[in-house]
Amino acid sequence: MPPLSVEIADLTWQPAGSDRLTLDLRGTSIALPAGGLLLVSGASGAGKSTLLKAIAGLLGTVLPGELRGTLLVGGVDLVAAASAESGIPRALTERLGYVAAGPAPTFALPLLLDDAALPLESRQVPTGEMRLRIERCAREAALQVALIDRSLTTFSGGEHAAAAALVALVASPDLLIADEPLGGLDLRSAERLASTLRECGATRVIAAHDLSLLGAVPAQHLRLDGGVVAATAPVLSAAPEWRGIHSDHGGGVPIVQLVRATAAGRTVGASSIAVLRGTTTLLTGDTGSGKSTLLQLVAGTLPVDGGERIAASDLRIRFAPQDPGMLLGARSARALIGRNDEARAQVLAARLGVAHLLDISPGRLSDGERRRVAIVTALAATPDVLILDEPSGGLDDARVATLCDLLSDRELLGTCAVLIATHDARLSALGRPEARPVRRVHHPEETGTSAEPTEGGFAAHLPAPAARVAESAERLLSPELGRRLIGTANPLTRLGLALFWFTLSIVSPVTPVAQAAIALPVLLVAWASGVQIFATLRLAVALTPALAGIVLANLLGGASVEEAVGAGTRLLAFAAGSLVLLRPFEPLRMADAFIEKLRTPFAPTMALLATAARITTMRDEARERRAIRRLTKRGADPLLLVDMFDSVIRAVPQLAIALEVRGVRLPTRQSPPTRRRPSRFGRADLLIVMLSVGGLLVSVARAVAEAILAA
Amino acid sequence: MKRSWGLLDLVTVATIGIASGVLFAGWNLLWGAASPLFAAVLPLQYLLFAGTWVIAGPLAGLIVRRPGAALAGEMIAASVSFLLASQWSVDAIFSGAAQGLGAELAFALVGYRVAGLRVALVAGALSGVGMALHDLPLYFPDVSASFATALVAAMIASAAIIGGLGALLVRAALRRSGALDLIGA
Repeated sequence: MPPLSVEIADLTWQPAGSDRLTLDLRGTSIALPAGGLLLVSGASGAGKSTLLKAIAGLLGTVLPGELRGTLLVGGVDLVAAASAESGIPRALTERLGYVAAGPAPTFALPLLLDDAALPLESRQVPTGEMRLRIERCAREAALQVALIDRSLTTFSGGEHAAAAALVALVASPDLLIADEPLGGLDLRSAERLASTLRECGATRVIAAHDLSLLGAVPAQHLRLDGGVVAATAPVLSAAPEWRGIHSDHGGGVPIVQLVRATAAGRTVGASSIAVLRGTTTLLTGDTGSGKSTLLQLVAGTLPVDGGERIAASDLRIRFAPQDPGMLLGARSARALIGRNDEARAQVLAARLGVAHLLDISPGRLSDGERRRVAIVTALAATPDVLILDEPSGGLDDARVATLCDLLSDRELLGTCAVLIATHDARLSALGRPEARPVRRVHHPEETGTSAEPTEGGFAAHLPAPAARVAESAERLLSPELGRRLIGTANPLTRLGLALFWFTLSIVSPVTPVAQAAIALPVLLVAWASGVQIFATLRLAVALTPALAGIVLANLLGGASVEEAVGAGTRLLAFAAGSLVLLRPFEPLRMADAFIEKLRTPFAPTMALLATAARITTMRDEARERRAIRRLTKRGADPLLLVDMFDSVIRAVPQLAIALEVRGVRLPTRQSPPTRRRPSRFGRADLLIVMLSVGGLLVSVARAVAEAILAA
Repeated sequence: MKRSWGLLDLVTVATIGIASGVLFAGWNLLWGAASPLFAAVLPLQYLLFAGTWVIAGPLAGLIVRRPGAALAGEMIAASVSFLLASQWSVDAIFSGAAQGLGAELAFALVGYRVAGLRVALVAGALSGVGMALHDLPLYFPDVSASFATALVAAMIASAAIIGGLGALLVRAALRRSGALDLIGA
């Protein structure tokens, strides 16, 4: 299909809950011909992302708010659609590729291969073609092909960016919208992806801080500032380069030291680094080299798995992570700033231009504002060690200059040891002659990091002896041999059997014998379907007192001993039924089975199970958030309940957009999606069904025998 | 408000349900551990703890004011707690359905238009009724009438306060933080 043209005139957008326009293009009209390129530049918070979302058809349809003016994309009136439809108009979705802005753009599914297949499944691309197309696009997007089988949670910032481009390109869109597609990429990868974007035949709308890599072809330019147009001529600047900072500068006393330290479950080799008192250490290195992990190890928010972390226990460490929200949470930054530090915070905030923002919930701020507020919060406490992960992300040149000014201030930082991970050469400004000592450590060469990743599963979170016990118990309880022979049962079979056993337990008399006759075979079935030790132990822990409780409660409520024990055994039978479905918990396989075998609608099923697939991420994030907050010892409510709901709801629009632009609403009952992961029934299903039938027969035989004996 | 459910609504309800489900799974363990302590005064245990299990319905209904949101939210939460290991097995889904239907009824009664304190309390209380209708015949078939009455009263009060009022407080905090503006709620 031919590329799409874009027409914009007098466009404005006011998001729900806001009292101002975040995009105001009144008096501007843009006509982008089919196959053309529109480059949008501007500072963070200038409205670039908003304009891109408008052209992608997301404003008013998916994201709540009011869109006015004229916006025609491929002839589709998106202003009319904004007030009438609850998704991107179909004609546009089919032909759209969209790269969301970083630092970690949101993906719909946890494995890159699954995620990249989603646009293809939605558009009914034959299953056999999928992998080839994904591999080809990986090369075009400057991503190592080997990465496509990996989980996106192990990706670095730059790999995320390349993966996002892959997913947008994979369905050969006629309109490609890319928000900071080169963010986080090292120069070589950025050049590769930029050339792909320059040469691609689609109509392209690309937002970027740095246009030097993209600006060499005929293009229209639009520079935004504060939601309005600042210029329509190109403003090109050369890519900055590292200069003036060397690795041997400084020579302070080490305050935190890592000696061949590794982190459980991270694909980074053992690293060594020393953070020096009174010195700023810049940790630079290629995309994906594991700088963030190293920072977390130094901060102590990620436990050291092997090697050593040498640091005094009473150090005041402050850490502003790559996602400032992890530090800031749901309430205002003020809640995280100690009473004694308020005056200092005010001074810092004024210097960074965020003095008026400390009392506002961080969620209401732009990305760049949040980053600066997080830096203020971290620095306000006069820390011994200050750790900043990509502090210049989302900031324009002027703001980066102010930041460098602040961070090279001898008086303000005193003996504080500063560690900054960055790939942004604009931070060279930290090395001015009159500034505090700065040294640069290049990762992985200068941190002695080997290339081999450290392996680690769930057990890796435990201390070594406990992990060994858990591992061997896991082997015993979920026999790998059995699993290899019979495979894992289809989630539908397991769900069906759990229902079957539950019903059987309900219709059977509430006597210890009858209920035990159900519990036993279910436990056998559970074993055959590969139950995992952790879920089982957790259930057992919950069950023992619960059983005692229900028996006691029934007794005290006036039931006879047999009735009470019967009620207790029934709970055991229920729990045994739960074991059948317990593990492995695979939301995606379940989604596949539901869509394929039960013909449930594609969009709601994917929405539900894509959300469910985030449970692990949700928990890891909660753990990380708690660790980061523990450093500040302030503003953390005991359960972080509101923070949890706040952070998961905040992630909703990104996930909804990710699903929307992958086209999950495209398939209909008449034209179902193609499936990359066919849902099959196999030997494992046959086995557990046979075991269940056996159990049923035993149950019936027992009832019959009882009846005969009674007669 | 637009007629059809969009992906934003779907993902919102799924998210509320799943986050609550993770909370429920932890709560199941806590409940189990506390059971022997409260065996003599079971209604007190229900009064103090049971309301947390119905929070997903009122919360989903308060945030996404669409038919089905409360029921779906509570059922998703219950299913997740079951999949993450629950001593009540598949029954968690059925009790979730009973509780969710209660909450859904409250929102349906006001035509999904109002969502304030009164609706929240009623949604919570009706979830408690759902819990009573489901739990009593299944787990306490042979107890005396006075014991059963005390249990039902505890369930309804707990559900109204922790489930209903609690959901309202969580929503208020989310509104303050600006999270709800992002999803237009």
